[in-house]
Amino acid sequence: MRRRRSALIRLIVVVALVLGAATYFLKINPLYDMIHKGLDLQGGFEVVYQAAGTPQQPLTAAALTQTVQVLGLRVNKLGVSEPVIQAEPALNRILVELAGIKDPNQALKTLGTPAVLEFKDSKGTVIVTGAHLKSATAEIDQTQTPPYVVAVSFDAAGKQALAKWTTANQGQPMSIYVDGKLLESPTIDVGCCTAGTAVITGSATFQQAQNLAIELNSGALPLKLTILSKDTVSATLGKDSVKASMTAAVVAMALVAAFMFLVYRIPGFWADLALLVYALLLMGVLVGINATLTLPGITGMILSIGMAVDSNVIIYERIREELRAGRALRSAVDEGFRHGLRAILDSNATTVIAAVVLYYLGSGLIRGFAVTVGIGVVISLLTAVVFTRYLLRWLVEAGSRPSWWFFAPRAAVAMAGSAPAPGASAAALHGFGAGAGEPPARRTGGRTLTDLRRQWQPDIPVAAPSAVAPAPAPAVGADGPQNPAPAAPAADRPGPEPEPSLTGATEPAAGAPQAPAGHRTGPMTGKRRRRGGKGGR
Amino acid sequence: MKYNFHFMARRRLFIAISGVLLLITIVSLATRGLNFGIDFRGGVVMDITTPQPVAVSAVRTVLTAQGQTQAEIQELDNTGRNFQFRFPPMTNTAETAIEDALAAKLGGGKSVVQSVSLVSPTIGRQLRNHAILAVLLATVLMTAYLGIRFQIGEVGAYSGLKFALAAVIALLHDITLTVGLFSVFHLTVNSPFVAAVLTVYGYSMNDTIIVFDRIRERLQQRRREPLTDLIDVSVNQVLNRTVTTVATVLLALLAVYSLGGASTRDLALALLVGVSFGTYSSVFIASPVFLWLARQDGGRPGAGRAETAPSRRRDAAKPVVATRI
Repeated sequence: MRRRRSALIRLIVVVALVLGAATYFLKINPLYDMIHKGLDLQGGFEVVYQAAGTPQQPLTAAALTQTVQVLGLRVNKLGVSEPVIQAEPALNRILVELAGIKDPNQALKTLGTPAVLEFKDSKGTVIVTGAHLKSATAEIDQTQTPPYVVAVSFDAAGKQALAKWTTANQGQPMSIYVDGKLLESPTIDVGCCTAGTAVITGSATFQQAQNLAIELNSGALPLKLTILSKDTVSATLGKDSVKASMTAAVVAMALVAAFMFLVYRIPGFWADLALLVYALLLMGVLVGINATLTLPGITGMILSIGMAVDSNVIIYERIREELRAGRALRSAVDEGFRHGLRAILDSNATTVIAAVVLYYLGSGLIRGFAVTVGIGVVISLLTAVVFTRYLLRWLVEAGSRPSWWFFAPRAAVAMAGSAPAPGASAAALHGFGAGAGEPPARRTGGRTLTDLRRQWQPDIPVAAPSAVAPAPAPAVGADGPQNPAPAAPAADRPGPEPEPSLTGATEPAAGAPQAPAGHRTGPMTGKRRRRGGKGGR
Repeated sequence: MKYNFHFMARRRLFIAISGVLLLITIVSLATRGLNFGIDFRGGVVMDITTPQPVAVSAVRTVLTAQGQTQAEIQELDNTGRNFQFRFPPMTNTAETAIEDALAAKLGGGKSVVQSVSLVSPTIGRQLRNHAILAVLLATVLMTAYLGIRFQIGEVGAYSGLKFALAAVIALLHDITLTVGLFSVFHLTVNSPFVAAVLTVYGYSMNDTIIVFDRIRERLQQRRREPLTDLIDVSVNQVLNRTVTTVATVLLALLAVYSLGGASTRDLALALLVGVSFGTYSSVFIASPVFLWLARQDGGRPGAGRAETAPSRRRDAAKPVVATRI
């Protein structure tokens, strides 16, 4: 009794926790808003450049990295909150993603335009421009305090201009402007400028010096870039897409949840709860790994909802089978999970293989899809297998019995108690599970009679399968009229066996009259069951 | 719910049906080919929304003035404001010029562009190669995985390989038919399509494995059961799961297809078709192919004459349970 109560309490706590978490993470502080969204969802601009070497600068990994840095500096001018600039070294490509940008063509122009670097004197007269800059590198010069400096060198014309100005204006301050913006108070040591080099001091850290060097270098891109592809999505279209795909996701989840509840009742509700946990965890992980959610990604998410409940379906069907075979509810649940797990693991492993391959060979949008599907599969193992398992076990501990609400058909349970006529209860079972499609008259009527007769006269002739209409025909009336031909190994067919009456595992029914001596399969029933319990061998 | 369909007895019928569908696919691929979108061919797709309704001819005039005589113009709805253009490959400068002209002539100086996608032909070739590579790589990896996991030595040597081969044949069947549908109905093949095909790939494999898992389990426990019956019973036993799962997946996909907006419709359609084929093939293609492969070296007693059922006496003497194993 105490155990029952504690199981019940645990259940209530978990359900309350899940519903609470769902309210919080879906309504109050929506996780969805925290996921980084691709440009197809929030509007924006993506461009893929192909990098090529120039006569001065061969294509190297370092040059590619430097190009990315320079592009990064140019992007900064656009004031985009989370720009993505990625090099794909294997292909010598650079991907730039700017979400939420208003004028994509302006952005593209900015990306392609070098920064304007100017050295000016105090009166604002330009001494030399970035056009003459050869290189700028961050260095450590111990004679300076702080020792972080940027060494710049100019070409011949630049050298000349600089040398001319320094000799004429000894001791005068010189300022550096990038795109007309004054750099933060660098002091320029021009003592050695006749050699065509200058040292810019005033950087507090080495990082600062490095940034300055990059900024100075951003005058020109080291590599030649050509546009391979470009994608622009307006913010309004992005918003529409988000709205449409969210509606689709919510409707898909509701449909799947309702379907699961209709098919499995209470366990179905548990599966729905697991689905909710699944959705929350998936979104949480996407936030956690800072993944980019794209439209195909959302489709992948919705698809994975369907596949997440698959694990539950596999396990539940197995539990039903175990119950039908006469197991007690508790062991049926355990066996259902144990046997279901192998199938689930093998099938999910292949899905993960496909997702991983897709991730490595796919690009951009497809990657988003692969990420959500792959992560989804792993999470669904956790929710559909582990989470539901505890819920079901506690429910059993809390004293649940197989009932219409819990794995077994109502009619079969009722009948098993009151009128344990095998045919009748089999018919009831049939009526329940066969589901919507069949007219009730056919379900009970046809089935009961045939079945009853066969229970007692196993040898009554039945139409041979070949005489029955092809493919879909057997679908109606399942194991009813068109049971296997006498020639077929009938004993092994699910149809004519008396077992359906055992469904619900209500023990009184087990020993009841459906195992008449002399019946072909009857006497074996009990023994078989035990064998089965040990793994069948 | 228990079922008792004689799938294996009718296997020739279903293989014939698939054969016909595959033939249609091959003929269609040979004669019509695939309608590759810009992701594969390179080119520009542009969606615009004008502030006022505009006649298609007026739009055409603007594009022609920009030298775009080849442009395909499609009205996206009947408001006269939403259009989609498809251009052959062009440079970014040319594309920007078109945007500017559209803004000047149709937008009263404001940009009318909703989305632009420009793809150079080089990247398209690479996408195609990667897609093919992805399918090949995934096939090899999955075959290896199944070959190891399904090695049970009950249906002759290389049993794992037989399972794997049967699953892969079913896979190729599904993918070919999904691609075929796009060829027959001339639907645009873009990169979401590749994602769809690969997902169908995963799903079909997934579905086949559920059936094979049951066959594997039963094979290990019922050494003397004729293979035809064993496969039939296994398929019937997992039929509830097969039907329920495909129903949930299709429900979810139908929601995407009808509500998810134009941009995901193609993806959802490819998935809908592929998932349906994937379910069909695990019962009607993968299982018969496995039956055929397993019989090849007579690895299992009764395998050779499974069509004609064994004698009743022997059958009756055998301890049998239909649902428990």
